[in-house]
Amino acid sequence: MFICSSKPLLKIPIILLLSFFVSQNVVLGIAFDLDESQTYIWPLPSEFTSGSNTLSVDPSIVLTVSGDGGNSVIIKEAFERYKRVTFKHAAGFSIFGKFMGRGSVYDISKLRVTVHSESEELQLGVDESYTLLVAKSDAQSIVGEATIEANTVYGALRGLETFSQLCVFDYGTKSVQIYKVPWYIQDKPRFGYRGLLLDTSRHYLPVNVIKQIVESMSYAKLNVLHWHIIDEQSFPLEVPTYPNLWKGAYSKWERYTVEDAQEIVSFAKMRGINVMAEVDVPGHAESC
Amino acid sequence: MSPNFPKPHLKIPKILLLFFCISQIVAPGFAFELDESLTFIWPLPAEFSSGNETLSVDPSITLTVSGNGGNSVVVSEAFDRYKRVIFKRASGFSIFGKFRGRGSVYDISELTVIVHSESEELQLGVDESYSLTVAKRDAQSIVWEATIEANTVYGALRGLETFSQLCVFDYGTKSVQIYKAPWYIQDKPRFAYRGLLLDTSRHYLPTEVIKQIIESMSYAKLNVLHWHIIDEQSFPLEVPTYPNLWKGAYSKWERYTVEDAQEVVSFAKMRGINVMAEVDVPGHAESWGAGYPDLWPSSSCREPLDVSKNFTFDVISGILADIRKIFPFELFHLGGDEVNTDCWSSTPHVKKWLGDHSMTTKDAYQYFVLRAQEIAISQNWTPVNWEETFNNFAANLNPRTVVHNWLGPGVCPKVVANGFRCIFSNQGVWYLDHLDVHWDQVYTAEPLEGINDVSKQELVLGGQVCMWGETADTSAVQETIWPRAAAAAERLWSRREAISTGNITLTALPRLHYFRCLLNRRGVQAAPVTNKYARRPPRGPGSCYGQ
Repeated sequence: MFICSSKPLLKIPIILLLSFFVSQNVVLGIAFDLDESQTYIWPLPSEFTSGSNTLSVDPSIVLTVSGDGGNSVIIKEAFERYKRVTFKHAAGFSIFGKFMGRGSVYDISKLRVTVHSESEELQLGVDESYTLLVAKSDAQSIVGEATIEANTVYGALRGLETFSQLCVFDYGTKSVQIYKVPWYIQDKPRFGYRGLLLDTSRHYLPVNVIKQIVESMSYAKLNVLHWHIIDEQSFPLEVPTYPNLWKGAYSKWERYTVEDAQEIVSFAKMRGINVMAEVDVPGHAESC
Repeated sequence: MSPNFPKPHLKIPKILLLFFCISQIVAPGFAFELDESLTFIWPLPAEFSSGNETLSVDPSITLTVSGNGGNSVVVSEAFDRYKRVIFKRASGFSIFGKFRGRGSVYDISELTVIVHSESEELQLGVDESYSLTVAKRDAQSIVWEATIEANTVYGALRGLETFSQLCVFDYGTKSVQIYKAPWYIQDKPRFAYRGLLLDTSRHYLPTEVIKQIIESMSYAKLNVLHWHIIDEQSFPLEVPTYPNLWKGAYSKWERYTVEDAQEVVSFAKMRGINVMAEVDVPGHAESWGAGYPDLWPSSSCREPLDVSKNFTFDVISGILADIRKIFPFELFHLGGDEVNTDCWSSTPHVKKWLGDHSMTTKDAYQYFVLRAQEIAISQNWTPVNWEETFNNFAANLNPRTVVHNWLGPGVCPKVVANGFRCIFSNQGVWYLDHLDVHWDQVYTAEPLEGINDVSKQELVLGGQVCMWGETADTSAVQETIWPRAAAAAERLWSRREAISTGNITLTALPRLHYFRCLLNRRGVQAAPVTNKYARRPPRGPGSCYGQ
C-alpha cells in the first residue's frame, strides 16, 4: 500500500524524501553482503583466528561432555536451548522433494564440551573464559570437530553463545553452515561486572518479560541484572515479614511474589547471570 | 537518578504536567480495581451469565475429552499451551514455608472438552461456536465443573481462550481463581472473516516473529492472517519453479523457504487461523524483476508487470502452483490495487501490444486482473482483489471475486448491492500504520454500515486490520498492532447491539485496558491504550491499567 498519510513527525524536505525513495527503488535485490574482513561475533572475542573453509552442521548434532563439570544440567539445558536457536529451520519433510537433512553427510555432527571444575557457584569474578575450536577432523588433524573447553560451566555457556553465532543458515543449501573455518578462539571478558539495570517500579514488567530480557542479555554476554525493584512510584515485591509493603504496588496484579523473584534468579543463573537486587534507601522510597 | 521524562510529542502546558506528576506521586497504591459490572472477557461473548462466587483452579488441572473430535491433537496441544499461560507460576517449592499447591483442595481440577465433529478442516465459515460452563454439577452438589462443548475443534479453541481469560492469579492466596462463578457462556462470532494483514515485503519479519503475532491473534480470536508476502521493495519467498525470484529479497537471509511458509501455515492451523497469501499483481511487483528483468516493461520503467508477455503469466502460474501446495485456505488474494499504467503506455513494445489488441491501458489492467484470476481459479482458489478492480470494471469481474475494501467508507454497500462478497478494511479506521487513529475510532467502525438488507449483509464476510510494513519492522510491529487490533477484533466477533450502545469509555475502555495488560503479561508488547498516537511509549510512570 502507498505510504501512509499520517502526519510526518519530522519535517524532511520533499527533495530529500524523494531521493530516499528513488534510492530504495533503484537498488533492488540483495544489497547487503558480509564483509569478509570482519568477524561477525558479538562481542568480539579476545583472541581468535579463522580460515577460509565452510563446514556444514548437522541439525541432529549431539553433545558430548567431559571434565568434572561436564555433566552439569546447566550445560545440557543450554545445549538444547542453543540447538533450538541455531536450527530454527527444522530439517524435516519438504513437500517439494527429497528430505532435507536426513541422510545427508555433515561436517560437524558432534559438539564436545569439556568443563574442568564441577563448581556451579556463580559470584563476581567467576571464571568465564573458554576456548572454542572448529575444524574438520582429517588424517593430519588431531583436533576433533567442534570443541568448547572451559574451567567453569559459565565459561562453557559463553562458548556456546559464540558457537551459536558462528552457525548461519544458508538459504542456498538450506543447511546450517560455519564460514571461515578453522576457528581457534580463546576468549574471556575484560571486566567481571557487565550489567543491565531494569526498573520495575516506574513500570511493572511481567515476569515473562524480565525472562525474555535476561535471555537476550545472554546473547551479548552481559552477566549482571541489576534489578531496581522498588522506587517511589510503586512497591511490587512481596516481603513476607512486612506483608503490607506490596500494597504499594500499582495494582494487586502488578506484583512479584517471592516465587516469581526466585524464578527469575534461577532462570538467570542457568544463563550465568547474577541478579543484584536494589532496595534504594533512604530516598526513592515513597511507595513504602 | 530522577526519572528521565522523554520530551512529550504533544505540547502540554507545564501546569498540566505538574498536576499529572503530583497526582502520580500523591496517590500510590491501588488506583485500579475491576468494575464488577463489567465482564473482562475480550472479545465480549455473544451470550453469558455469571454469578458472584470465587473458585480456585488446580495448577495440575487435567483434561478430559469426549465426542468424535475430542482426541484431536489440536485440542490437547492447545490445552497444554493454555495451561502454561494460565499457570505461569508453577506451584512448587517456596523457601518461605510450606508447599503451595500440593495437598490443597481446589474447586476445579478437571476441564472437560467435548467436540462433536472429528473434522479438522479449516476453511471460511468453519463452526467456531462453543459453550463454556463453570458451574456446580447440580443444585445439591458442592462439586464444581468446567466444561467446553463445541461442534468443531476450532470452537473448542475459542472456548479454551475464553476459559484462560476467566482464570486470574490471585496474589493474596497465590492461586489461580475464577471470579463471578457460575458462568454460562454461549458464544460464536458475528463475522466468519476476522483478519490481520502482515506486510513482509517492506520489512522482512523473521518466522519466529510471525509465529508470535499469530499466537497473539489467537488471544483476540482473530482467525485470518492475510500474508502480504511480496511487494515492490522485496521478494522474500522461495518459488521453486522460478528460483531466481527471491533474488529480489533484501538480503540472502531475509527470506522464507517453502518450509518456513509451511511452518507458518501449520502453526496457524493449530490455533484455528487460516493464512491467506497475497501475490499482488500487476502493480506492487517491481521486486519480481530482480531475478527476471523481462518482467519489467523496461529496466527504467519497472511497474506494473509487463502485460504484453506470456512469460509474465507463466511466472504467475508457476508462483501460484507452488504456493497452492503451501496454502490450503480457499481464499487467495491477487491484489490489483494502485496500478499506474504509465509504463505500459510509454514503453514501445507494450504500447504496440496494446494497439495490436485494441486495448486502452485501462482495458489492459482489466485483462491482466481477469487473466490472473483465471489462474487462481484453475488452482481451485476463490480470488480476492482490492477494491479498485471493482471500482473500475465491476461488470466484468469474476462473480466469485471477494472485493477487499480499503480506500474509504461506503464501499461494501456498493459491493454487496452488485452481488459480490466484501471484506471491510476502510483505511481511515482500520489501517494500523495510520498512527493517528485512536482505539475508539477502530472500535466504532462498523462493517455493515449502510447495509440494511439482511441478505446483503450476509455478503460481508467480515473485516481486517492492516499492518503495513513501511514503518513497522520486528522492533515495532507488535506495539503498533496492539492494542488497537483488539478493538477491531471485538467489533468483528461480538454482537453488534452489545458493543454499539452506551458510553464506550465506560463499557469498553476499562475492558480494553485490562486486555492490553493481559497481552503484556503474556509477553505481547501492546502499547498504551490512551496515547494520542499509536505505539508511543508511556509518558511517565504508572500502572498498566491506567495508561
